[in-house]
Amino acid sequence: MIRNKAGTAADRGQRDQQEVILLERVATRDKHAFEQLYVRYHPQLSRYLGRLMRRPDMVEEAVNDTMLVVWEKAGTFEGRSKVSTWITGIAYLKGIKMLDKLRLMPEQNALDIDEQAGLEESTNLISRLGLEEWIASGLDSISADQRSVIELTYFSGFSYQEIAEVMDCPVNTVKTRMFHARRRLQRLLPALSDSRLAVAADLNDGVEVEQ
Amino acid sequence: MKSIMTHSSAHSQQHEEILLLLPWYLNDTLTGNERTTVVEHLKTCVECQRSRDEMQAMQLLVSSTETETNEDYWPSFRKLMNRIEQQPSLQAGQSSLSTANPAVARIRPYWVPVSLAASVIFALLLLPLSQTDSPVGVVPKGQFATLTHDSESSEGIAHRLELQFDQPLSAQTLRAAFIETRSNIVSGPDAEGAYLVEVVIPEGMSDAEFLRSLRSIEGVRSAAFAP
Repeated sequence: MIRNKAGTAADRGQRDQQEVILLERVATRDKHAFEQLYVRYHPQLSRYLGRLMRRPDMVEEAVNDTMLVVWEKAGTFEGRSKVSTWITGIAYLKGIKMLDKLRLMPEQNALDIDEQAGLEESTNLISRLGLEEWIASGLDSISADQRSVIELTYFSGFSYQEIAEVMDCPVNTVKTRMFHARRRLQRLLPALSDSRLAVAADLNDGVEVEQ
Repeated sequence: MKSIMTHSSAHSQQHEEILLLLPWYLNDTLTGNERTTVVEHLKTCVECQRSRDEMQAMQLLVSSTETETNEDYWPSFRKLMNRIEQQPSLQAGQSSLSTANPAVARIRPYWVPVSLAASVIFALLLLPLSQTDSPVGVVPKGQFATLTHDSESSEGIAHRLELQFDQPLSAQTLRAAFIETRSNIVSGPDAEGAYLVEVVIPEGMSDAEFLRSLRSIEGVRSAAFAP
């Protein structure tokens, strides 16, 4: 089992309780509480919006637009979801809105990688671009919604139900977005399958894997 | 024959469901029942085992493209606070330390009968003191670079103190400790590493006692009220 960065369920529960208290204080215009909340969310919102938007130059604005809504609307939080789900949902809407304004939705982007490229071609591409750029190109080629699901699952440790709340869609849509994102990435990045064993060996070196 | 086909169909349907659930099996957020079903299925399904391995590989590859994030939240936070402060509608009728809502008053931190500043420094000393964290904004003595100016408080009169530490601390490290204790860095560090900070002395504690408690803390080189 991969231990995600969000920690155990107990950690997350404790964190959420603390954040509900912070949010109640923010609702009374407590700037210190707001700063505490900002400190907690700045790194994860920056990473999430960075992956969602693929526009590093717009991330800071999107993070602050999100946190401005938190400042304005803290009093409307009713506790029906976790604070992290609520804030991430705001970030998702802000990110999508900014992309939409700029007509940069990935569905409209030209593919950087040929979906039909074979293993040999991919290997050549990795040599030419470097692994990071190659993967980044793959991520550019899936939709923002699919990247959002990948980010929230693999890096933020959200359940599929929480992701459905964040993105305001049915849980089955979350599952199928993930399924299609995986399938598309595997097609776009065929060397992934070939390098699987080597990478898995690296993975098992650093994290606990359940057999 | 019909029974075999039904069994096969059910197995196939379960297999498809497991494939969809695998990412959340890997991030450990499935319910107990879902998790048990996935674990049992994985024991016998080679295809799902392969998918699990591929997902782990994909996660590692995608994480290798970590987007660059600015570690220092402070400049962005100040920009946002400036936006808020320039829009009166965002602050209307509210005090930053309002206790009008009884529920909120209940959850506000207590001013425990130790000095606020002492707790600030204790919190500070509990933080890992990073020697690689270079001090920011070092300016000549007496010419402080303002870092924050939120000084309003309904808890009492705010006092300004000049604090020096045995080890150099970055403004960011100090600020992180102060956030938790509702104190403020007014300015610093100066050329000698001194910070000007604003704290509220708890009721029932004299100024002298307050300073003594500060000076008795290991790591604090000097503490004095600012002129």
